[in-house]
Amino acid sequence: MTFNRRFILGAIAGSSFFGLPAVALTQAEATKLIDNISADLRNAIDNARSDADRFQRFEKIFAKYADVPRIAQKALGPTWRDASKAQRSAYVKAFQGFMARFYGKRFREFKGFQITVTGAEKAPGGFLVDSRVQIKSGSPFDTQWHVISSGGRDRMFNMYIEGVSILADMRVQIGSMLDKRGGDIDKLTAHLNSST
Amino acid sequence: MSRIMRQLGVLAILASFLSACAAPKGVEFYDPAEPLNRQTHELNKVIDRTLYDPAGQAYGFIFTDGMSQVLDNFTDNLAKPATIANQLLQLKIGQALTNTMRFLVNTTFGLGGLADPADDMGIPDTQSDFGATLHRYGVGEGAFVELPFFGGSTVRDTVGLAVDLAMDPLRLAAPHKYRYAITGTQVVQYAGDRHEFDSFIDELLYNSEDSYLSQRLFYLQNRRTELGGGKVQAADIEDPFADDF
Repeated sequence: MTFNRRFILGAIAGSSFFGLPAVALTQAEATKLIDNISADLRNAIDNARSDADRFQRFEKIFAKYADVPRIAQKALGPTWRDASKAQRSAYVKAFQGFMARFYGKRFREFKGFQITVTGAEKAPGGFLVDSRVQIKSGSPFDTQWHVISSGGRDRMFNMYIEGVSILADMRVQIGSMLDKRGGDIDKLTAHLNSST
Repeated sequence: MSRIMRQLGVLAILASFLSACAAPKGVEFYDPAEPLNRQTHELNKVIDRTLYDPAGQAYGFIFTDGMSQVLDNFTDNLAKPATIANQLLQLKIGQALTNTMRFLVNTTFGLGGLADPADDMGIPDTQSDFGATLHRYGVGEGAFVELPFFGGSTVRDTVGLAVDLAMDPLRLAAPHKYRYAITGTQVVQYAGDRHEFDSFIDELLYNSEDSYLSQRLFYLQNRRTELGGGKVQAADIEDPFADDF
């Protein structure tokens, strides 16, 4: 129940180091992306006038910087394979709003936080960027960002807060919702849209 | 000497027992006692609502940020002897030495640990516990366990917690009447953490689709990363382009 507290530009990655599609992303770009996301997140948390306003700002940030379709797909699991094109896009849209509200609520107390990027290393599809987050009171904690090159753009795929993967967290949430609805993706999408 | 040897003997037996019930390879979460753990989880939510959450609110009402920092420093300093003992057992001599420096500097110049001049001097701060010592000697985490009052743990970390509570060098050295004071400050410290992460814990416990699964995920991933050196390794992370379904 306790919440536990606690480089230099390298080679430019043009090769497919992990046997994956060629990575057009460089370490400098990956780091820059994290700086931009942090600035936008801080702005959203510090200046939101209401919960609804913060959720809206979070959703814009996710849409702009994160590979939401891929995150949504990975959170859903095998059900994705059997879904139609229309079902998939309705689900992704609902997922994006759900994720914004979910993290908008969890991080409302992180006002005035500062993120310092401390390094980066190559990771599947891109880079894993290390950062240290300092909130107003309390000890700083480590956050790592998995940035990938997807659809010709640099995007955030996953984030690890003190080792906890937000994709795994989303998978737990979505998996439970889907189980409760007998594996029906339409009911899941309707539920995601109705959740506040 | 013979007492120490006897204790080491007990540890060796314990360690081999624990390894025998370590999680099977490839199973992400080994949780054979899930039904019981879920009951304990519901109990812990009641404990949180009636005890921890109100204590956190009271803490926020009473303590200013400055006072809260002093209290953090004090409890961190009290935890140092146990950390040092564990780092010595793990043969992490460098960390044990820097923590000993920290403890000496903060206890003297830091007015008994209320201030943290060691931090200004740039002396690194590390934590450890007996669960980490067992890990160091190859003991697997075993099954996930939800403990009443303490929350998520594993079989190995539960043994570690019991040993840390029973054999804390500071407690053993302190006169009897001060032991309650040590426990008292630790309780207040927990109330402080509950206050600091109020929204986060509220959302995790009361607004998760299945708070038991969230809690288990958080504990295990956080703990495994901590024992693996504090950072997720690029080689261990989920491949975004894997076609696994």
